[in-house]
Amino acid sequence: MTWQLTFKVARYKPGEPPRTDTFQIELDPERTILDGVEKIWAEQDRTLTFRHACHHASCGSCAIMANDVEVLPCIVEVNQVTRNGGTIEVGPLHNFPVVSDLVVDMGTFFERMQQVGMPIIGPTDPLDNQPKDDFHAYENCIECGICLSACPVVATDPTYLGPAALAAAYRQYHNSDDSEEKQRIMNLVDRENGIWRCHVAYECTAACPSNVDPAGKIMGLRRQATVNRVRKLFGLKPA
Amino acid sequence: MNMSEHSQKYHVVVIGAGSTGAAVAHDLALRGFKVTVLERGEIASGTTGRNHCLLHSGGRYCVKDQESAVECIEENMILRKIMPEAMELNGGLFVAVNDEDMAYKQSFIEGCEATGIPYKELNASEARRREPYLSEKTLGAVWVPDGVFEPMRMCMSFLASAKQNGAMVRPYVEVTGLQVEDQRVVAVEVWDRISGEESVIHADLVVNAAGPWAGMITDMAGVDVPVVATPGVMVSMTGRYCQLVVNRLNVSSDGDIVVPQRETSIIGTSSWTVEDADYIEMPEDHIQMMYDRGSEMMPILREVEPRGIFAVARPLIGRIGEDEREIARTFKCFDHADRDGVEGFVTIAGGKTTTARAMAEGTVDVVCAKLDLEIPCATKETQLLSYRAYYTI
Repeated sequence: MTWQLTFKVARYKPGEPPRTDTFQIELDPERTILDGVEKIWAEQDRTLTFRHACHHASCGSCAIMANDVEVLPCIVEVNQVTRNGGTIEVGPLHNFPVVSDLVVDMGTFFERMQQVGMPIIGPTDPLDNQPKDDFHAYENCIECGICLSACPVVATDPTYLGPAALAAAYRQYHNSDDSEEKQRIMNLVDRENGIWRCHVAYECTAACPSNVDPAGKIMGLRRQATVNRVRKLFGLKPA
Repeated sequence: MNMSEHSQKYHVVVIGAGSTGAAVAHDLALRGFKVTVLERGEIASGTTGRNHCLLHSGGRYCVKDQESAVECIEENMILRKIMPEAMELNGGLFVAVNDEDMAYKQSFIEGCEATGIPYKELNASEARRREPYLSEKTLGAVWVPDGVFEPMRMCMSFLASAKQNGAMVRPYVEVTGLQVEDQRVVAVEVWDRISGEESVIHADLVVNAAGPWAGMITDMAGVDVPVVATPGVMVSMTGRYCQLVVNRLNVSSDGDIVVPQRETSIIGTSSWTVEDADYIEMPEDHIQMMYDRGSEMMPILREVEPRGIFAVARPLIGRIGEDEREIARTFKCFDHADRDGVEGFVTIAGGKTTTARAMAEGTVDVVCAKLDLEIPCATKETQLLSYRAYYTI
């Protein structure tokens, strides 16, 4: 069984005004929004550009807006967002420079992730099971940028480090045994455009497709920064 | 004489930024060539991005396709040294759940020994202690050094290193034609899918690393390559139900492997052939087969929800009509001068993401020989940059 669907796709090419294109496609309702976008590219419009790689929510490449909500379109079946004969609106993430159509520029995002330096997969012992705690060897964050798109502060302050980098900083701080590394992370985040810039809207945590809870991690870093200051008053080393 | 002074004179265009093209670009740049990578979509948006994420130990091939098995174990041991950031070195089990599987164990172990794959036998209780979600019917298992990698990040890592050595990487630039003069490919016609501009890029040599789309590129030069697009379905389940890769201890077949990647368990895979790999319609019965066969090893997979269902075409060397499971998974570099009398044009086909570095080494050796250069490959010893550097260089 297939459904008749209308895709309204936000289009942009450098030097041209943005526009919306409408496409009619037939799709199995259990296929995903990304399948629909790829089908439009394959069968109707080769100028359509979009980021994608893994199609199972692990690479983070394909994040977009769908019906005004941040999603990984590779894991949202069309029947979750519309009905037979219905319409799906897709566009690029908010708060990122748009390169072309659904493609945004991830450069600054990855620069900040690299500054924090959290390894996405930690060293593993090949023959041991990993303990199931907050610090998996395989980190949950897939660097999709959804939390930045959802964040009201990122929308107004491009210098803000943003939820993904701050969540990574929390993990890096607590994963590290090295006091210099801890200090480096604290210096990076304990400033105006770091942990103190967050308005505690928790939009990032609500939008995250990988349960990273960036807002909770930012609050954790605030507590840590405060504890470190109090300890300093008493001449103690940071915890 | 520093031969890389000579390689700098040559501009090599690589078509495709999947694992093969990315690794070829890195190897070429490291040997001093001027390199441009053209990719019609995003990095890893074709076969590599959607692969099963298995860093092969070679176990899956050690009985019937030993050449591929040797390639896999050699590359596995190299990649884990040069690319620590994009992979999890968790190991894998080949699990027997019936008598037929147990009967296969001896050939499997002989295969491991013949191909140099380290292994360790586990009895049923050891296997189930390690992996509690394995079937109660488990009769025994063999451990091998499988791993799990991040396919897109692996490509970005190769490309970041290539960029550091001067390569130009151009995503969203589609090749629309090859210019052939006097039986030699001299330039590539491209269409920039972002700006809409069409242009011509001079090339001293073109490497076709377009995977299952390789035939579209060879058509442009009026030659042919035996690559058959062979999709497989994968189902990624919500939740991680094994720590090690779980394979069926038997001849490779449909739905006989579960790869734990991050917080998911990916069941794979099936196999059929298509003419056009751009958009692949997944057969419903293949999806159902993943649940049915996967749950024979891990019954819980029948009870949990899928997270992502996808299919992508492998670029196997062969012709449509051959039995896909019988086609060797090894790779081959086609020099179109020898084959078809067209100079300046090489196609690299077949292979696995696990063997991308070796595929690149073989290809760039051919490139060097064609240009009469002797520059040794150094990718075995060269640490790759972080994938994040792809965006920051």
